[in-house]
Amino acid sequence: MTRGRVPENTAKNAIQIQDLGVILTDTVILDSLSLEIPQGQWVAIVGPSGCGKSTLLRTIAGLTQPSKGTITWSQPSSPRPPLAFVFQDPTLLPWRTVYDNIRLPLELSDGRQSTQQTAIAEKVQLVGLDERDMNKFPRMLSGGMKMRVSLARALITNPAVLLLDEPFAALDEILRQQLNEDLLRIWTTSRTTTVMVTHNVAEAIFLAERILVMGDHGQLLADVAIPFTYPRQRALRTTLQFAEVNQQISEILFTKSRGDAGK
Amino acid sequence: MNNLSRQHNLSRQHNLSRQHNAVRFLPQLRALLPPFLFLVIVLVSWQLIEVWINIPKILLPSPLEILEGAFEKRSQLASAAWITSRAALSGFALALLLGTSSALVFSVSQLARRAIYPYMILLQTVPIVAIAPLVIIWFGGGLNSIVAIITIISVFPITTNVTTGLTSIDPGLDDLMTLYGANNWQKLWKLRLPTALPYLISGARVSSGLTIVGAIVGEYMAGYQSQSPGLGYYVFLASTNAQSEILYASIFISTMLGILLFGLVTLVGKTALARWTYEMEQ
Repeated sequence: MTRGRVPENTAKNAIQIQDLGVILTDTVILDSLSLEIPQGQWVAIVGPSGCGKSTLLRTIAGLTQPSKGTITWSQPSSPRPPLAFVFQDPTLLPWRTVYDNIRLPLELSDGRQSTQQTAIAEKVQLVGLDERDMNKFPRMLSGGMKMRVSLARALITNPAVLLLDEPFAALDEILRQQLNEDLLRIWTTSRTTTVMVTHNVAEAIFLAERILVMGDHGQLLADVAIPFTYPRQRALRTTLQFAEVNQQISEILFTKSRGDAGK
Repeated sequence: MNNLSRQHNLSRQHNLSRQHNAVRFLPQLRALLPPFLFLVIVLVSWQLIEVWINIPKILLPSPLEILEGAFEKRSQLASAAWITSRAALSGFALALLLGTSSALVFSVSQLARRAIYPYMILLQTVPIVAIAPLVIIWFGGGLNSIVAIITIISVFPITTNVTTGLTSIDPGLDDLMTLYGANNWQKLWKLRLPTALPYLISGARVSSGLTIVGAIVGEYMAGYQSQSPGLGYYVFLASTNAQSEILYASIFISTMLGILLFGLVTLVGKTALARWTYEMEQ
């Protein structure tokens, strides 16, 4: 495991962030953040509440406007490649069925109906839902099922970049682990560039191949490469090495945050 | 044997289902029983008091006298009820149209909301009886004025509710739409209007009760020029001719119309909203 900046990646960068700053209602949220995310990499961002990790994700998605700096994409032909965002809440339209919720991104981009049906059924199965669930309304689903629908909706456009903002934070631990494993299984086959924000260090280690530890105003405290190869099994969580990595990242988080608090 | 067993099971399921339905409706019947019994007690006491004390008919006709009077004028009252309903429905439809359109404008333009909204509140606070003569001067006597009065009285709850609905968008859903490149029209059709629908129905329920009030006030004041008089005109006529039983019958029928319209809007609302979590307050 290496701590500090990950060595120059020869792979093409999917996202290149330079000198990014975000000010929201006169408060500096991010200040001069620079970062490269190579194509196909799973990056997890951990940090204390209010450090700006969700703002970074929203800025990458174009939902928050930066006050300075640039975000450059690997596809120069278009201003932004197809992105998908999974929010902390499932954000499903309550008046639409599961099928229609998943179809929404295609509908907004005027996709063809015939290809949609097959693609939606495929994604429904991929995220572990039953085809019979497609006609159900969100109120009929459990919290875990709603998150699965949200995930299927994110995957329906075959995004180049997947942004996850604490997607499983509201779920219980068992369900969270199940969804982590399902998400990892999906990612292993697609290798979509993924940026995930989480409070859960163990979740970040289990899923990501690189962890960014963020301090106040988006200051990068550490850039940690995770030494485990894919595919990863549940048993990984109980290994000594996993515990060591967990301990190391938690320590960075704890000491740096405490140090910042004492300033 | 198998067939017998299946038939037995089916019949058992049928019985269970019937029992289930009965159990489901039992609380509703129980809830209706006390007000129904109270009504019966009031009507019987009223009739008995009339018999014992012999109050003059002009002051308080007995329930049977009201029934008799209403029966004698049944064709006129039925026609009046139909005319009042038609006016109420026209005014209600106009209020829905105007209320929703103004709410759309208010939800899009904050400037319009700030400039016009206070006057709408002002309009709501002016008593409708005070505005009615003005409306009659503008639109003349008859149906036009009546419909205008109904619209004025019933538009406000729709405007306020729909404006609230259109501007109370879940920020997460708004982000989702933005992320997938939805334009303003797509946001309106796919997010804002469906979000506002429960609010529209709530506003329509309040308005539905007000439309009958507006119809009666309108007909009372402007109905004399109408070729086919509604219930409000009968209220006016009966009170000037001292026909108390017709007055009571008109009041009763207009109340029933109000309840009917309210029930209809509630039913439409429940059907429209059945698919999502929103539940209307009882």
